[in-house]
Amino acid sequence: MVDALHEARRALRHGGTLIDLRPDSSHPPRVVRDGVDVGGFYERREAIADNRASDRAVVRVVRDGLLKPVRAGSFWYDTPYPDLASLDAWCATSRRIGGYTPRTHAALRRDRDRPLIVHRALAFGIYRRTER
Amino acid sequence: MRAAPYIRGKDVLDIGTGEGRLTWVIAATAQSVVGIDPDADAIRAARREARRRGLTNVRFVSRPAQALRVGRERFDTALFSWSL
Repeated sequence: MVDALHEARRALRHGGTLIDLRPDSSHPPRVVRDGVDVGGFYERREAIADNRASDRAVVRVVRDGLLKPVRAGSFWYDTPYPDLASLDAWCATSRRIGGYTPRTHAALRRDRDRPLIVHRALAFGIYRRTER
Repeated sequence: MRAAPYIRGKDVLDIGTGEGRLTWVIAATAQSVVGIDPDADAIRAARREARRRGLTNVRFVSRPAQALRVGRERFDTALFSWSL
């Protein structure tokens, strides 16, 4: 990850900007039906560990003076799914999502053909390339 | 996410572009976008979609982030989208 950051920095013009955008593990995704929060998902342990490793890599590159933090934060975004089957398919193939939290799937099965929305938090960090 | 000032009119490197899920949004206002991803199948799909959309300011490269090898190219903005 540090290598990737170094490469990206090398690809930037002087004063260029690096944006790190990824899911915010401190706020696992929620699933919403008809405007009501039905339940959530848990993230795989490896995904959380990867996220922490990425955090450490960014801290290291900043500490080394190669990037300067400009702004950071998080925001929510929604992804629609037409029904439970399509949400199950996404959940089964996601490298990040480990599965539904307890009772979520049972609640979703009660009305399986209704459209669903996954509400996800994304964290972002904006950094400026320093001159070194 | 208030990224517009870093995208509009800029030369952008989209690292971890996949099938281009964010590339199309970026390409709408950027000067140019180079999407890079180690998944060759995803890059092929992204190229097809770029042709379908008629985009002329987008290019895709199959390569890992650790070996960008961008040569003399320099970008205003590098975006790690789900890829760091």
